[in-house]
Amino acid sequence: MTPVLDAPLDRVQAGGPPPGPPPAGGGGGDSDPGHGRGTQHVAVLGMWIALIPILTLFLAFVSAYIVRHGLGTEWAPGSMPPIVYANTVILGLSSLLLERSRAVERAGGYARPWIAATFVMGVTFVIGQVFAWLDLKAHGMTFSATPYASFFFVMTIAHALHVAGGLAGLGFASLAPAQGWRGQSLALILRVNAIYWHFLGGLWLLLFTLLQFWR
Amino acid sequence: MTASHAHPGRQGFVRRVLFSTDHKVIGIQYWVLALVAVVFGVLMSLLIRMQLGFPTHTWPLLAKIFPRGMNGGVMAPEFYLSLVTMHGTMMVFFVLTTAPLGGFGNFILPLQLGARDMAFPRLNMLSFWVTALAFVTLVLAFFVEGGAPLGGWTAYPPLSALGAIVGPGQGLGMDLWITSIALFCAGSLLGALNFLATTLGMRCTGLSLGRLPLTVWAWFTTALIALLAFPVLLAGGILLLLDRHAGTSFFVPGGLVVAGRAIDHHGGSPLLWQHLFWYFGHPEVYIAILPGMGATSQILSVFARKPVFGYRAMVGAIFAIGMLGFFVWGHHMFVSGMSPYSAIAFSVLTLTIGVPSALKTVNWLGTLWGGTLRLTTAMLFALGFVSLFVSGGLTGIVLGQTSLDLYLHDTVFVVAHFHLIMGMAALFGIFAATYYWFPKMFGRLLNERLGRVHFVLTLIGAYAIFVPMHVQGLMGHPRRYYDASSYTYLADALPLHQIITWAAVLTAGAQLLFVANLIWGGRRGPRPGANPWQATTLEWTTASPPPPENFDSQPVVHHPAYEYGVPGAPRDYVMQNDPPEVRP
Repeated sequence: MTPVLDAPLDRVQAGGPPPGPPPAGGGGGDSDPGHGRGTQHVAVLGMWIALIPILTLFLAFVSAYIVRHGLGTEWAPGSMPPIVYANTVILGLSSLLLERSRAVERAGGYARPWIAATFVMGVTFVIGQVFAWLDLKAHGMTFSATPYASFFFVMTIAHALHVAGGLAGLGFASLAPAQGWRGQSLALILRVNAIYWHFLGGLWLLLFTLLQFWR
Repeated sequence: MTASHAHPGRQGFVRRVLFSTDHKVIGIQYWVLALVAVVFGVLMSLLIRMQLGFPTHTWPLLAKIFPRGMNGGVMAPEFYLSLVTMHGTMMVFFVLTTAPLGGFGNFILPLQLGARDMAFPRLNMLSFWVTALAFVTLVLAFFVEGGAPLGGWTAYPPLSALGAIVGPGQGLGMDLWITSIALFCAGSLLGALNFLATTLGMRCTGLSLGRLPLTVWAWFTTALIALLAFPVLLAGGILLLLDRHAGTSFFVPGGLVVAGRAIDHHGGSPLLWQHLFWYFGHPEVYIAILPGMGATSQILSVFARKPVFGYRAMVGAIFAIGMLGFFVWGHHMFVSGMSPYSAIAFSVLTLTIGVPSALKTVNWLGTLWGGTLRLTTAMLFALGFVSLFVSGGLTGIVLGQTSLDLYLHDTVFVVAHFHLIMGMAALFGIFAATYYWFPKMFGRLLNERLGRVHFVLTLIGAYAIFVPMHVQGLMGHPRRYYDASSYTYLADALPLHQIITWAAVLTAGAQLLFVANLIWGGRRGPRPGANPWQATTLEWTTASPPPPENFDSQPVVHHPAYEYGVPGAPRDYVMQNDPPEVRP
């Protein structure tokens, strides 16, 4: 079985069959042969598995938030900067654009503009979050001002850093067609990116709900 | 197979050894890292033992080596505490986590799956180097101003959150400790991701889940635990660093006055750290020991020439132990003022772990029952693992009960318990795995006679160190005290301290036999051939050491993992990739 990252995913097979040899089939009445689902399967599987620790990290922050909130003392929640609402919409739109990219790619069209648009929306989200932090600071809610502010900054900055990681992936995806990645290879890149990007959108909804409605 | 894969034999030293993406090289790198770390860890434990055994003795030679910590040949209390902290950290993270999972797991898992490499080889390389960087960062803590941190491997706030004002080592040393642990978490997560993806997606044809060796199940479960536990420690570490440097108050309560100075924090909860830490900390015990359970199951079966007794139950028990481990963290906090109702819940869940643990033990004995035992060194260490697992596990049942723990908490009884189960049992698992897989890893056999002497001395040493320590704990001897002679009520504990110290010196000395065996075996040991133990799993179907591509041709599995003593078969075992007709 071919390791994933070292398989050229696969410019050599651009437009061709999925990278990695097809399964040779189970032997001896095997009901669950893991082998042969292909490199694509392992790449997607790896992305899904990677979400587990990221989600766990944020759930640790969330549980700490809930415990600290429960203590009650000096919690002093502030109001959510208005730009955060706009950022939430932008992140949602970026997910839709990414799905549009995948649909165009599946239909054999030129997906690059749609991927680039997703990237731009992602960058806009991060810049919007920076404005939100500056807005909070201008209103006296600095990093250490109140426990609520501390959690707000920690969770939103950690999320923005993960979005920045997603932007790196999207940047790669937007350059990939120009470098000859086509067909199922490009589809795989977009699929892996989409899993991560939509996850970040869902994660943001969780954080937004917490910070807005559990103050 | 693709042509771009970077494997040894085709590149220079840097790509072939340092930045290799070959799982076998990375496995050996992890194993060597653990070996280096265990030398540091053992030396620190000997210093700790010298102080405890002979607290009033002067050590002029050590004064030259540690001019700050042992000025005038007398150990400073702060130096003692920094040794305790660094010993625990070094052993838990860089030995007990690194060797079983990163070392043997990396080397053996793809081979047992019939795969050419891990799913993500570059990520695998990155995971090792991040771990190595974490190790260097930790060691650096000894050399910065104030030295290494003092707060123990659990780093409880507020001591860990307030900086150098609370003591030497709590400044830059503590920062390096937190950074090291954060890096370690990141490296471990990358590795764990690889283990899961490889197990689920890279198995060779015919290797169904029901045919996986129990070692694979153990590494798989361990990786899953790591994915769910390390992020929580990482989150705690981030919040702790922010408390130290960004003025936040996640863990630091208000109203603290240290060295006559009011601390500018308010409203944090030290217990919040304890929850986060132990949510990671207890599963970490299983991260350390589950691979040892897997190796033991494997080795007992091979050298008893019998299938593993109750294979499915063993798989279920591995999962049950791993998952139950996430629901018992509160038993580390019985004295924290938690509600008695919570304590009962944590206590019951803790004792529940005894059920799958007992099941495993009974099945190990069932595997041995009626077998044709071959008492190789690997087999002896696996038997030692079972012995230590039972001994250490039994005292876990004692500590899992709230009423008993209230008395024994923070005594050396706890130290003795977790050293037996997490330290010695896990180390015996590492030794068993080393003697068993060394021929596959390095293409040479270790010396069996030397190995047996090593086993006997180490087993006697393990019990000689930790049984008296239980007795001291029952006397009420608190842990982390550096001079028992200062307390009248601990006078009876002093002779035991001296016995333990001598036992520790002898046990550590016995490890020189192991080191000598590694050196001798690596250079002059007899060449074993592909399958010296007449074992059935796929790693033994290829050359020792395996070629860069692991297998000359893609294996196809037709048989379960433990087909020993098969009636009517041409040999007393059937390898997993033997043709179907081999088994009558």
